[in-house]
Amino acid sequence: MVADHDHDHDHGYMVPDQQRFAEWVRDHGKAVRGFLLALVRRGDVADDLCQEVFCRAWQARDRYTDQGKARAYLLQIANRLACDRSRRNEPRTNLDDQTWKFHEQSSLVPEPAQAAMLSEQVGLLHAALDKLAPMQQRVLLLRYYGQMDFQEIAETLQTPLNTALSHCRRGLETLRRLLVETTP
Amino acid sequence: MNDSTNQDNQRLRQMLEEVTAADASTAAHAKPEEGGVEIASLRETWLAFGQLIRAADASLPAMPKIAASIVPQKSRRSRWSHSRWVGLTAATAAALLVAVTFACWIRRDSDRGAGCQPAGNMASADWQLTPRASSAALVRQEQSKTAEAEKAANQQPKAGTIATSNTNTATSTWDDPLETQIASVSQQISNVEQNWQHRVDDVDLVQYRIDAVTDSLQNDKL
Repeated sequence: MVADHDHDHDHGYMVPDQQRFAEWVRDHGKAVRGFLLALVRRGDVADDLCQEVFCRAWQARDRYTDQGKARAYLLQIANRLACDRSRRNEPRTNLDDQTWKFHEQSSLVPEPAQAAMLSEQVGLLHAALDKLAPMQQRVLLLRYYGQMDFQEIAETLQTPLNTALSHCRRGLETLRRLLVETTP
Repeated sequence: MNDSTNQDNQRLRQMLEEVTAADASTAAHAKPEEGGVEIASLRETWLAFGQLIRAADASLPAMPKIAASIVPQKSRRSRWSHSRWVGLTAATAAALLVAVTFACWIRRDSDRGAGCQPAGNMASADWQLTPRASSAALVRQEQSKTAEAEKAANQQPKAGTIATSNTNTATSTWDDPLETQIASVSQQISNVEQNWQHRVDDVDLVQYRIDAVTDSLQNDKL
């Protein structure tokens, strides 16, 4: 089955599981992908992991009980996969963005001027995230993409609530130094 | 002590939830006496961070289609069961083939073991054709009977150790009824031979007396 978030929303022919799956991809696909991209910093890897997240969600659809927190559920899977990947790939070295683009020329690049501006934004985001500790990154990204409350974030990251709150505050303070105080 | 810590944590949690709220109205509720400057500053940071994320997300190429296998467990199971059925069918076919081959082999060997039988049949067929052929067939039948009798006579003493046929011992171990039949036929033949010998002796005795009577007649002794 192929679920495309750009398709029309007429899923009357689908069985409930398929319909829910298509809605998940449509409503949360971008958030999951953005979350993964912010963590792994590579578009191809983020796409692969995003695919894996939805596959896992589909395979576990019988165990899922709908409580209106589908995005949080998907982000939990995404976080677990990103953790697994970073644990597996620890000895490897990722190419920096320019080297990667030199070797892997994508055909889906935007216009040069726009690309320059956007890549500047991406570079700034990555630089900001690099200043954060991994747990701070995760807390802030789960809060941003998943709109999860801090208790859920703490449970997802398997840390005490106070620790999650501390990570959030310190992360915000670090970002403030980088994004607000240095901005002219 | 614990109460104050809990209160601090509760306050921190509330502040961070306001700062990182998705909608702006939540953050606007922050009161100046509760650290409104700090909250505003962190809120500004959070909004800048969100803006950066949105810009980075916008620079991404279109999201690829998500393809999830729609038949994950059932199809795997059915695929497995399908291959299992194929395997079972192949195994059954192989077993049948082996059984048929084995049966053919046994049948061929039993035919070979009863090698004189077709000759006998042929002889009986010949019997109905011509007198010459029938006499030849009779001779062949007698020869085969004699050969069988000789074979049985040779093999009888060794019956405990060697089964029968000199061509294939394995077959003779399988063909017990055939061996019993051969043994009984040879027994009958030897009985017939003994009876015939007695009769020959009787004939010889009669012949001897006839010769004696003839000699007496010739010598005018009577």
